[in-house]
Formats: sequence, C-alpha cells, structure tokens
Amino acid sequence: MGKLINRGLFLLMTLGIAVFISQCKPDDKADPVWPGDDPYTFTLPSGFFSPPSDLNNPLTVNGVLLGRMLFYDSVLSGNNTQACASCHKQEHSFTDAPNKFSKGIDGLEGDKNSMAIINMAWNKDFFWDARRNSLVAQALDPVRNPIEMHETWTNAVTKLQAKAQYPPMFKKAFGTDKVDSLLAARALAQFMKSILATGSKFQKSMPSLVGLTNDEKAGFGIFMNPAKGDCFHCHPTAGLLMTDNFVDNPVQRLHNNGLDWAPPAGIFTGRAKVTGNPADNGKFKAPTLLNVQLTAPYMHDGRFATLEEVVEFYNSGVKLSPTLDVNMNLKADSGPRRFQDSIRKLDLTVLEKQQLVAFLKTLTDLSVTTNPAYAKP
Amino acid sequence: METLLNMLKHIKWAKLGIVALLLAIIAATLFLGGCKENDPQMPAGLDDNTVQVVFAAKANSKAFAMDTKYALAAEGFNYKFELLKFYLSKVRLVKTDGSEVLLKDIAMIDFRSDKPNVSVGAKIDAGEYKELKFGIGVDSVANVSDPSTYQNNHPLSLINGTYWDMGSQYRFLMIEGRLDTLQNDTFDIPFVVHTGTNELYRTKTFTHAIKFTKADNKVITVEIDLDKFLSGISFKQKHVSHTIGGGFDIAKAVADNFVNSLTIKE
Repeated sequence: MGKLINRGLFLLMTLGIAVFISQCKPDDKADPVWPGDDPYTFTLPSGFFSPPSDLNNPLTVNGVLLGRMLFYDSVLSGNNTQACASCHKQEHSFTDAPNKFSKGIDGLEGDKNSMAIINMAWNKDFFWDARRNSLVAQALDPVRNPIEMHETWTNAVTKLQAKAQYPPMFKKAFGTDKVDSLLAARALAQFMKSILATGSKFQKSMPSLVGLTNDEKAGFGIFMNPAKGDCFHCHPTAGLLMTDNFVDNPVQRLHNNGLDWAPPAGIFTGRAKVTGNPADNGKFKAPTLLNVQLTAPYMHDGRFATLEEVVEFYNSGVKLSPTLDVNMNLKADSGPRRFQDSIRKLDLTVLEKQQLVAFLKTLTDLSVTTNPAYAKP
Repeated sequence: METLLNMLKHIKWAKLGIVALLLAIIAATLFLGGCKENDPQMPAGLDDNTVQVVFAAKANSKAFAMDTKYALAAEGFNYKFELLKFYLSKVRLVKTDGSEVLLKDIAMIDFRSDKPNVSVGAKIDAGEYKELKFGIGVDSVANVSDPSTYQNNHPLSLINGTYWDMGSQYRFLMIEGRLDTLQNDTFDIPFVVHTGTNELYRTKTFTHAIKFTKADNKVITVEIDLDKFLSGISFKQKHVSHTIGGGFDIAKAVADNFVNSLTIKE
C-alpha cells in the first residue's frame, strides 16, 4: 500500500513538472503537430523575423516531404502531364521564366505571369490579385483551374490514393492513409513554405552593406531615397524579404504601381476584379524582389522583358490614376511628383538607372535554384 | 531480524514518500507561479477591476469610417482616409496621491488592419484616479531597437508595417488618403504624412476622475476629431511628409494637431 501511495506521489510530481514545462513553451512554438511527426524547423540568419505561426497547418518533416512529392507529380493534372513544378521551375526561382504566360494542359494560356515561390511562409496574400489569403486555399486552385492543370480534386484524390507511395506518406504526415484534397493542399503549402531565399549578396551584406560594390551601394541609396527611386515603400528592406506582403494592414500591401490608366482604358483591374471596389483598380500584390534577376519577364502580365525596362518604367512611365499608390504619387520632401501629361518623371540619370539595376542583381540567391531539399524527389 | 528489516523498508519508503511529496509541491508551485514572463504587463487587479481605453474617431460629427468622404468646407477640401494608425505608449492612470499605474507600455492603434485595434485594456486596483496619460509614438529606447527581434504579436513587430527603412526607426503616426480640393468628388490630391523621430514623440494628459471599487469594468473613450486634426495647418497645401529628408515642419504640425484633436468623451 505504501509503495502504491509513494509511486502515486512520484507520478504526480512527474506530471506536475511536465505540465509546468508545457505551460511555459514560447507562444510561437505552441503549434499542434501531428504526434507521429516531427516539426520541420529552419534556422534564419540575423535580420529575419520568424514567420507567423500557422496553427492550422504547422510545418512537419513528413508534411513538407509529402508536399514536395505532390509539387513535382503530374498526376494532379487532368491528363497527367503537368505538375505545379511545370510552371514553377526551381532553376528560375520557382517561376515559369522566360515565359510571359504559362500554358495549361490544354494548351490554353493564362493572363498572369507565374509568381516566384520563395519565402511564402511570411506572405499574407496569394496570387497577383490577392484573391487567396492562405497558401492552403491557393494550393487548391491550379489543379481545378481549366486553363491550368484542369483536373477535379475528386479525380486527383482517386489517383493519389491509387499510387502506392502516397497513402503511407499521408499516414506519416497527417495520421491517416485516406487521401483528401485538403490534406494534399496542406502538404503542398508546407513544402512551399519551406522554400527560403535568405542568402543573397544583399541579405548577407546587411546591415552595413559590407561587400557591395560602390555602384551597388549607390543603387541601394536610390532604392531607399524617397525623392529618387522610392522603391522601399512596397519592397521594404527591413526583414530582408523585399516585399511588404507580410504587413497586417491590407492598404499597406496592395498597390497600384501605375502600369495602366484607369479603366476602361486599362487592361487589368487587379484587385478590383476580386472585390468589385473601384478603389482597388490596378492594385496588385508587390512580389518579392529576391531573385528578380532569375524571373524575367516582369509585372503581373510579364510586359517588361528586362530589369532595365522595369527601371525605365518607374523612371518615366508611371501613369497617374485615381488609385495610384499615394507614395508613388507624392514626393516625400516637397509634395507632388513631377508629372508630364499625367506620366510620372523621376528624372534618374543613365548612371543612376544602371546602379539601381546593379543593386537589384545583388538580391539573387542562387542556392534556391540548387538546394536539393527543393528539388524533384 | 525479519521484523527489523521490514521496519527499515517501511522507513525507507516513508522517506521517499516525503521527498516525493515535497517535489510534487515544488512542481505545483512552479506550475502555478513560474510563467510570469508570458503575463501581460498589467497591475495585479486584486479587486477584479478592469479599465479599457478606447479610441473613437469622428468626422463631420459622425462616427468615422475609412474610404468615406467628409467635407471640410472651412479648409476648402473634402477628405477621405485610407490609413490611420499610431503608436500609443506608456498608457497610465494617475491616482489622486500622484502615483502612476501603467496600463500598457505600448500598443498599435490601427483603424484598418487584418486585426484592427482601437483600444487597450488592463486590470486595475481599486482606488480613485484623477488623470489619464499616454504618449503618441515610440519612446527613444524602443525607437532604436531591432524590429526583427520582436515576436509577431508585439506592437513593434515588422508585421505592423511601421518600421522606417530609410530612418532605421519607427513611424509614430501614419496617415494616408486623398483630398478633394476641387470639391467635386475627383479626389485630385493624395496625402501622406508619416511622423517619427524622438523630437515628434508627443504626450497627452487628460484630467479625468474615475473610481474603481470592486469588479468594476469601466471604459474611457478618447475621441479623435478628424475635422479638427486636419484644420488650421494649411493641410490643403502641406500634406506630404516622411519627417526625414524634408517636410519636417509638416510632420511637426501634424503631430501637434493630432494630440490637440483628442478629447475624452464624457
């Protein structure tokens, strides 16, 4: 009897300590992880902040592995010829460069340039027009899009269930060998979130710009000068992500960058197509500039073939419209920008434009293109 | 001999039992009291009193809404806001004996966000209080801290979009929107003012008698009069500033006018 009581006390003590330890876990490590799997972790260099926790879909070792398998598997398409990787190629920072638009399985072409899949763990919005606010929701779309992979998820799930390797992988990742579309999307989202671009020359140079050439430093100066390039409002350097698509406030992360006149003259209406709100005309997600050297052509419709063309557009081609981003419309030091026939003029010199391009090329992280963890399994 | 051995065995288990009991008590104590670093910065609130300081913006004498047109005829323009956010620092209630109780060290007040927030709340001890005090901005120490070191739920996290790349410090008050200077709904001129730098940290003190006894849940509403905020500073002409690199006078006028536009709603 005494033994039993004492063993009970020992158990109570152990339980108390265990509860104490579990109660004191840092908030951002409180994610529920499928108990049969291990959390997928990565180390971030100095200057990065932790990506927001996703309590509904925490990254796990087997979840990321399953997502990687799915990302490269053409079984998700209607005729088994296209995978996610078909239009998001690792060698081009997971874009479809050099294609302006991507072709789906039926040879039909989309109307948006394929976006880079890097540092997605921080992103708030997905697709150029921000029509999805989670990567899981995003991952469901291309499969069922008739101009992309053109498959039903019902069929895709049946095909995945029939492939010998998948049920055990789902079991390891999610605790069930019954495949379903949501779990597949969760795995895809996990893999996409695991792709990091953290080792570019610029990122390594911060905060003192050590290692940059004089021209690259000058380009950085133009990038950061609100009276010159003023690029940093939409592509902030703080956090080293080179996009503002991590900010909580939607007004601060969706922008009309002056590509088109106001509708009906403008071809695309951007975010307004989703919201129906004219105040959103021409607004798009500002993509990361990391690896921009590898992802030509540029803009949501791939209208610019080179970085030089992009810089020239911002220098002398931004169109005034009622929804043009306020920071592009106004010069920080003295008021309105110089507009000529409703076209903005930054008046950058030839050298300044070259320096800006030189700086943009320091944002290249080639490890993304070669990292075996991101490659076809 | 056997009896002696049995007695010794019992003594051994009894000792172990005492040790186990002590350890269990220690563990329970740790569990109950060991996680203080996660507790919010607020006083103990022994009497179950709470206070909430709410910021309510008004325009044209009505409740304010984003993207909505408001007329300011005296200044010669209509206006609409697309962004209105600011840092609220060192929110304190001052007791009648002059001692101060910190309600919140820092908070982000943002009228449009994925997580809009227009209030701060705290537990508070019973007593009589005479003043509400706070700062608009970020104190000089936090202002030069590394934003990447903050957790994402912290007001100074990069996720709030307030860190100022070009100045390596925080923006205190951010307003963006459009002016309709022709007053014909064309909204011809955007405005952007982001105040910052230690020089533009502003403080506000309201005389406000408030008493907490037991289980009181009280709300103090601070009203922002946007018409007053945009008046008397030639905003029609001077509405662009990032504080640094020109336009400091505009940022200063906006910072001053903002605190002057605040009142406590009785």
